[in-house]
Amino acid sequence: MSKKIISLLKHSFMILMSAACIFPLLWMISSSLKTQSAIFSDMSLFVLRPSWQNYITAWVKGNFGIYFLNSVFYTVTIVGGIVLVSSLAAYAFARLEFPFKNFLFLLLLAPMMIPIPGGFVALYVLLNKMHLINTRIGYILPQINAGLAMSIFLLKSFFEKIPRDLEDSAKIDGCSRLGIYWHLCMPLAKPALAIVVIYDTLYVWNEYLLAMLILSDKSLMPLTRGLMIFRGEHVTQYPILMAGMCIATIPIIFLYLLMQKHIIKGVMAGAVKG
Amino acid sequence: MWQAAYITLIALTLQNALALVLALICDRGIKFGNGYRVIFFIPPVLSGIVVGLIWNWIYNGNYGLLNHWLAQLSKWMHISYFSNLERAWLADPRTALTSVAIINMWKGFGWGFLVLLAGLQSIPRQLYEAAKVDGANAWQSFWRITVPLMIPTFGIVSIMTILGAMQIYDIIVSTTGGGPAYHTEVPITRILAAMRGNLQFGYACAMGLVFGAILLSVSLIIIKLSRKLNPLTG
Repeated sequence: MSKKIISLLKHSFMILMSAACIFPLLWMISSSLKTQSAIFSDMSLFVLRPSWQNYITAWVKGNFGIYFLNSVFYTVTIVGGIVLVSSLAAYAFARLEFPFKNFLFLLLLAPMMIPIPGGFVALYVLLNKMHLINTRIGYILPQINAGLAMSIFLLKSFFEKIPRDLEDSAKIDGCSRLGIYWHLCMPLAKPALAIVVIYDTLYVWNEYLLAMLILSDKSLMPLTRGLMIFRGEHVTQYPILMAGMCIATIPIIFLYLLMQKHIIKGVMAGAVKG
Repeated sequence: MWQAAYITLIALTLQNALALVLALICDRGIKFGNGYRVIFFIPPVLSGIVVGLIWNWIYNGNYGLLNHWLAQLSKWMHISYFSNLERAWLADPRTALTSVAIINMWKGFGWGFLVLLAGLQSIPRQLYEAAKVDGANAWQSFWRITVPLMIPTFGIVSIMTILGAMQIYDIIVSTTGGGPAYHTEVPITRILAAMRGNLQFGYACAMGLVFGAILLSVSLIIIKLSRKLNPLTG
């Protein structure tokens, strides 16, 4: 009997916490469907007459269409860049012999230890001198750089676990170095690549600080920056702001729910190792 | 700096205590454990900007949900205590910082929960069974087995919490922007203000480096400490 009560207590606590997690999101969605006049008086969570107009206004007049496409573009190029560069580098560190190998590896990992605030002012000055402020490439390159250390570290340890015999037999069959990397190691490293891709996607999609520093042209901005710009210009248009927030949030939640097994496994594996 | 430290302190104590309790419940096997896990990790995947803007709306002084609920509660209980609490939570110097700390906590506890759960699940079950045979109660086996073996995990979680909360920026800029009257100013907003407002790049860069060095040394101290306390290595 007392066991049942304890289990009931546990569940009610867990459900309470889950509700606390989800409720603000539901509130955001329901606010995005209210009209401008209803949002200040109507506090109910369920909207009887949803006004989808908000989304159209946000997408067209609020520029969220442009911001959305920018976010997608940045995410794809940055994550693609990170995967390409870091997998090649990790393969080299795992399998090739060259002078100063360990020293270079440590040099690459050093940024992992240095917290961001130490670097972003210098980064801004550097980009300014290179005339990359307010350009797409100036936003993409630093972020590829930021993601490299972690994913090289992850992929290197994964590549090292691939048995050398497999590679030797591929070599005998006439496969080149790059061929081995592309046809053999990359497919085998899929679990590690999945973690890299998911993490960097979440990170890039949600990035704000660099976007604010580097981009000042509206046509170049990602969603996070666009939201703040919209809030600055139309302080009271809450329903449209909420619609913009939904546009920024729903894809990432969708991705998370699709990939949640990988994400949770990745966090938990990383935690035990670290 | 001290304001970020306050946010960090709340994150370090309340948020991680909450995360630990939830992880302990989940570790002992509970129905829908996986479902809870998925839900708890939703806030951490969101952007700090979106989180800040949602809460900004909830905390709003005139039309916010929190004040609305307080008013309803007062009406329902026929006392004015709760409606007297109503305020513009983020614009009131007395509540702004704590309100931001709560947002930070909401966003962060899922992460700590997951890492702590991973740590708990890596403890071999046999240890608990052996302790039970030797007549230990749940309280004893928690303090004698769980806590010592969790020290490395505690170390990781505290480093992650400290680094995350000290570098808080997205949430600040999308809620208070450092106001009212600098009551929620944190290191990164200060650095940015020096850099963009006054164009003191050298000064901003120096602040950044000092701040970075402090964070780095704090994490190194925690790593050392957790090595020393760990019964397996120390």
